[in-house]
Amino acid sequence: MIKKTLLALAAAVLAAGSAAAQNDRMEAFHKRVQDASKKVTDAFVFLGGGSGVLISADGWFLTNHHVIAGIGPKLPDKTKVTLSDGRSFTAKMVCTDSVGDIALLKIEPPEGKTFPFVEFGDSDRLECGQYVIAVGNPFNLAGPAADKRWYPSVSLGIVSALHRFQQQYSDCIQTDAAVNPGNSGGPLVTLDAKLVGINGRIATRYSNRVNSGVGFAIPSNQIRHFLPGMMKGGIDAKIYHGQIKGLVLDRSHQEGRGAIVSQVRLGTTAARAGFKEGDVIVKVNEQAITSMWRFHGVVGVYPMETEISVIVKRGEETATLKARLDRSEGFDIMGQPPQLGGAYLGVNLEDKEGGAEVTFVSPGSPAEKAGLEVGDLVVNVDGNAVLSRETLLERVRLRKPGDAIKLTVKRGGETLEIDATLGKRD
Amino acid sequence: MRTLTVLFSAALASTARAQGDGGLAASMEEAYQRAADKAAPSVVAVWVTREAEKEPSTGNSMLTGGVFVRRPKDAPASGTIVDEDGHIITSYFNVNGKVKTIRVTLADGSDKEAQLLGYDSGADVALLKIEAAGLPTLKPSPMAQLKVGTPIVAVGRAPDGKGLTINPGIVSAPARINGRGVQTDARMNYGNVGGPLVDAQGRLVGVTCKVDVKWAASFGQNSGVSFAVTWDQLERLLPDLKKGLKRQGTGQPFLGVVWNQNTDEKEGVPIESVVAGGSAEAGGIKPGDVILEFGGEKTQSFDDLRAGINRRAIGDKVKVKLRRGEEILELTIPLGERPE
Repeated sequence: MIKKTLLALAAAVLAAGSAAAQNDRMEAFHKRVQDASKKVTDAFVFLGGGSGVLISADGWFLTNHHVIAGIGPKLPDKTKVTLSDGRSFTAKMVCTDSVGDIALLKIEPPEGKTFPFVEFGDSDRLECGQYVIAVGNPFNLAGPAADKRWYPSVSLGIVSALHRFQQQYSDCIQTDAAVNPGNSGGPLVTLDAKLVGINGRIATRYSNRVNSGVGFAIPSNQIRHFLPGMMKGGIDAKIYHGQIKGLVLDRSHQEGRGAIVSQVRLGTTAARAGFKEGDVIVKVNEQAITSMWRFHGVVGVYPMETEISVIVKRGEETATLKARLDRSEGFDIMGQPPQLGGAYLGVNLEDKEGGAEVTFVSPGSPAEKAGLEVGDLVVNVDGNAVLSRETLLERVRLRKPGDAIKLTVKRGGETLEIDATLGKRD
Repeated sequence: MRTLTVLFSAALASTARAQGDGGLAASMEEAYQRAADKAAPSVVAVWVTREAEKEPSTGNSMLTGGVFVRRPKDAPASGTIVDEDGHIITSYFNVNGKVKTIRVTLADGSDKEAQLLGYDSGADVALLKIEAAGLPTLKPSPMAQLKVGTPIVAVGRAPDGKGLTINPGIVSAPARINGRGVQTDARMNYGNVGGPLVDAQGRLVGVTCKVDVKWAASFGQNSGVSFAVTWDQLERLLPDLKKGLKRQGTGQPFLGVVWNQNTDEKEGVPIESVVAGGSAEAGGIKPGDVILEFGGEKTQSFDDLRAGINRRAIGDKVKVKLRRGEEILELTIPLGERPE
């Protein structure tokens, strides 16, 4: 009898303990949501009809390229932004990634002060079903409230899918957190308030421009690959994505086996990297490749000139190939083809160990005027290592006639700094 | 003895299961149910019959082909009991138009005819009255504890009057609807709007509204941007509504100027144009003027001006200092109402 009572008591205690514990867990969960909401709200940036987020104490912040493009290229240095405490600043456009839909801007903190900001998280460690928070300014709802603060909108949801290929959003995060027009450029964070994405797109139909439960964010790990180059100002405030030129992939469905190389064009990066027809690409860096789309998706997260490692299956063998990415020639997020600056230097080059060797200098060209000579080894352009002949040529093509470039050249035992003013390509 | 052992191991098993997913899913499910159960007796179904409304012109029937985009003429909706004597708050959207009858079904299934006592279209609030006594009301949620991220549940009554609809979410932002409400990501649609927004303890946060805001609910599809007028604001409005207040219009103060964003003007707010029929036009503000002060406060940006307007009420006479060419002028302008 005593035993019976004890058992019943134990069962009751367990049940009660469990209900209380459940309440605690729910409260703890929502405390995390509230704390993260507050932290991200403090680091939130209102600009134009869009959103942005501070990523450093000294005022670097991210938004979408399409938010900045909407404000207009004529006013990039006069972009007025507002923080949630109501203070306004004039932001400077530093660099934009028109394919990846990310723009980097900067505001200057008042003397001796810093800004609140959110830290980067690791977007490759997200899991489907994980809770995430989207913060933004949907439908431009925020404005100065009675207390003069601006309140962005916070929505809670989960990671619906990872590594979605949506053209330019080649490796994006799908979420059901409500994201609407105006959320563009705003942060997607974990419950620890770590930045895992920048919200930029929603799936809609019938021109119905409101959230359908399917929103897309550019993953923070992709942004991380571009940030160092963007902070240096890119090339004329632009940064470019990469691709392997000359690599033709089989478009048929491969049931997750990988991406099949159907052709390798002669004299291209693909040929130099050692790709062979029939190779099955199964890995790029640490990411498994299941299809042609996944290959484009993974390559799409790197800037041009990045060296990637590709594992291919060739019959029974496995080979690891290294390729330095060329500039992607895909359309940008606004549907525009890549715009070249049309500049001209006037040299022929050849790949050499450590740089590109000058094999011909066109008479009367900017190269000749700057003093370049046959046999010079160009090792650096505008502070960036010359990794190949193509690297230097791309950096010239992307500049405008009249722009100045700085070349570091090895001639004999000497190292020279040469300034050239680029001409117009006829 | 055997039964008890089974019970004991069942309790153990359920604890183990709960720990398997951190217990969160189970505790959230339970909390939402508990909140909705508490709210249930005060949530009513509202049946409105009205003359047919004109279909909106969409320009392209492909866009809306087969999609339900308009409130039906005989519409089921939800309402929230706010006192024992039969006063029920609902969304004005639910009861506007050429209404023929309004009937209310209570949680116990009883069906009553309702009268529309008053409304405020700007806040999207309407007050109904049924003949009743001793109706159950909800405890108010302490407004001070309401933070962004606080879990909430939008509760509606299903059209059959029996079941509930439960849409959970969080508080997305305070200070919306001109300071009269909150924003939430709980989904609201034709049907559950007008029901209560409650906290995890089932206490009344507010009454859901603004389901028909065109930009936030395109073609009747909710965007995850929803609103509720908070209880403290409703309480303030109730005496007037009971007395029969019928207010049309946004209720928002309005000056009627368009700001010129493309100048290098360093000081003040340059005006590009004035809205025809607005107070700025009537008060003598002209395009090209630069507003330097509004109500004695410096306006260094458009936001300062906007905040100044929003802090005042319709009809307030405000001193506006402005520069016109070389001249400095001071005008006194009564604020109008923002058009819908």
